[in-house]
Amino acid sequence: MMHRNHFAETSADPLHSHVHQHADGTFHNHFHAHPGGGEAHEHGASHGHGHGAEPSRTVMEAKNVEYAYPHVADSVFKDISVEAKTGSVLAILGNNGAGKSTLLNLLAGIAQPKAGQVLVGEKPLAQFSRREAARHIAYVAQQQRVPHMTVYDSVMMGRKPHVAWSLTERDRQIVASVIERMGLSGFSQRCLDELSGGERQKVFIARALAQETEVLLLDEPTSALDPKNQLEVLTAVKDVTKAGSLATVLVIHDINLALRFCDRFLLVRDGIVIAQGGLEVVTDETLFATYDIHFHVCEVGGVPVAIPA
Amino acid sequence: MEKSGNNEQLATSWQQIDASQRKAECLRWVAIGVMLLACILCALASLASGASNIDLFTSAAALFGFGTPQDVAAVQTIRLPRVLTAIVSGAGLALAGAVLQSVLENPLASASTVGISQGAAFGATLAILVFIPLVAGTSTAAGMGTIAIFAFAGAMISALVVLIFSRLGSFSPESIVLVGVALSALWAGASTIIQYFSDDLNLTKVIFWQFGDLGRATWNQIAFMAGVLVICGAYFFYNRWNYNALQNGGNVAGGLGVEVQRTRVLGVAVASFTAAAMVSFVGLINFIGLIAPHIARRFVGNDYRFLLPASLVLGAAIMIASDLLARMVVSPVILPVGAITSFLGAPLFLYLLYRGYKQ
Repeated sequence: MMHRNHFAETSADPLHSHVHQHADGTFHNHFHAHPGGGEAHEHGASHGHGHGAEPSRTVMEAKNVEYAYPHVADSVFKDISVEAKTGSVLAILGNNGAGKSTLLNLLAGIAQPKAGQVLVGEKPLAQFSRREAARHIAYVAQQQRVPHMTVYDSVMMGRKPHVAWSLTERDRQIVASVIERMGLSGFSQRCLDELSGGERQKVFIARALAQETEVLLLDEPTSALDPKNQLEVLTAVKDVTKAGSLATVLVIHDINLALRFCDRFLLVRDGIVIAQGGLEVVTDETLFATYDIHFHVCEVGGVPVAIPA
Repeated sequence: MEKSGNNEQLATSWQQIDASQRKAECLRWVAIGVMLLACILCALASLASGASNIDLFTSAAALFGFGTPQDVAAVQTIRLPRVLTAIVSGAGLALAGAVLQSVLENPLASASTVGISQGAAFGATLAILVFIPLVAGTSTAAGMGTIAIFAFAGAMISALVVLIFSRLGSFSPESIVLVGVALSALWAGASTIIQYFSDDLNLTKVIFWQFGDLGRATWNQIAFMAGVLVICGAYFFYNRWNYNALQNGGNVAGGLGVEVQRTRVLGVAVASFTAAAMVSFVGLINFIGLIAPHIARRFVGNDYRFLLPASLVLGAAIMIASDLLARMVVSPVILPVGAITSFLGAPLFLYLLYRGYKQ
């Protein structure tokens, strides 16, 4: 509950109290309906890995999961355990075909593990209805259909798991605030198919944020973006994660982006976990074991980078 | 100070986003209102036109029982059922088309492009040429009901095939329509074989059934069609958020909490049921399910909260207007209304294909 006060300190926005009235116990959602949250992130970020606002909680846990494609004897991976913690961005790194996206699909509940289980809170994900799962987990796939819809209408779809009959005032506030937060204010009435790849990706992430979940799963969120958009998108994701009680897990190919924006890492080579932990586990050795090429990890201007050696 | 100033500015910005959205939604309702007005005007014009010359005001009065007995009879017993049939069947076919386009994730879907109408046509042919002469005898009383039931069964078989194919792997928009082409050919082939062995009189009945005729439905049948429209329409409207989500693809919809399989299967089933109920009583009237939703999309966008009512109103309006046109082109001869809607719909279909490839 600490983070409520934390927000109250930094907000002079009338919306804030309004959202409080409606917050039906789902206190993890505040960052959305909180346009004045810019200060809150900086504040949170200054405390390191999300410990500023509240103690980091494990909101989702994969326990010893194994996956095999239907009718295939060999498993893609087995015995992987991974936790999603609030205020933390976890990067899943690995070679092509390592099973990264499959693991993300297990976490999203799109695929079912052959062995082991995924827990959300205390409850197995397999027991959730689709609607229930969508209130806990938001998933942004790598490839998405681009419908002929306005940005607002697309982001509004994030409220789908919460809407009973029609949009409430609170739904509208959240949608508008998320659009605003992702820097899409000028585009809200533009159609998705008129936007650039970077803007679209922001819309998809905005839609996921509008779901007000505890877990945000991103499958290669930056693979189609130029450097400016890569930084913008990941900065937004990191800020949101640090500010609210959101746990983010992303699959990413760019090691340097991962080092810069993530605080926990899972390195996978052909379904086998090479290393798992904080920044310290990303070393020359583990990267070589993961990618089969030599890297040198060092710091440039205070930012950790990995240079192919 | 600086902090609160920043907050105010941000607050204004989200409120601007909200305000522009509310304005856009308001405009969509206005557009639907205009469509409704157009629909009412078409209906009045249709009531006022016919073999006997009755002007607009006289016919409006006759509708409520005022005026000469002849006028009242002409309007209430001939023209009114025709207009009501047009409204109900047009609305039903348009709604079915709009829903099929979402659940099949395919902008080209409609009852007539995926083979549902053709299935109904085969069912009707089978009933007229085989079942009624052999089993039911020639009494016409049971005829219409039997034809409708057979047409309905044919439509549902088509729907089943479409459903199965839409589940097999990832289908591109064009390929599900190719399934429709194959189905249509199959039904046409089967119909041809039956027709080959039938006599001239029954063959004429089949031809006339296939022309499509809005003047054929009885009051009971209109009531049945209206009942189907109300119940299925309510079901569609209840699912409008699911249809919105499905436009983003099945995976995304699943991630947003939609029971994708169930929504799809029930969507195709209920939409086919709606289309089959209409086609069974009015015959083959193609492309309404394609034209109405696509024109509606132009004005209200792809949000099913607006698209469903807009499609409903436009479907009714286009059906009445087509019927009016069919009666006026070579008056006093009444052309089959299905021919008119095909002339409107086929070019639109080609245009959509063209635009699809351009994207």
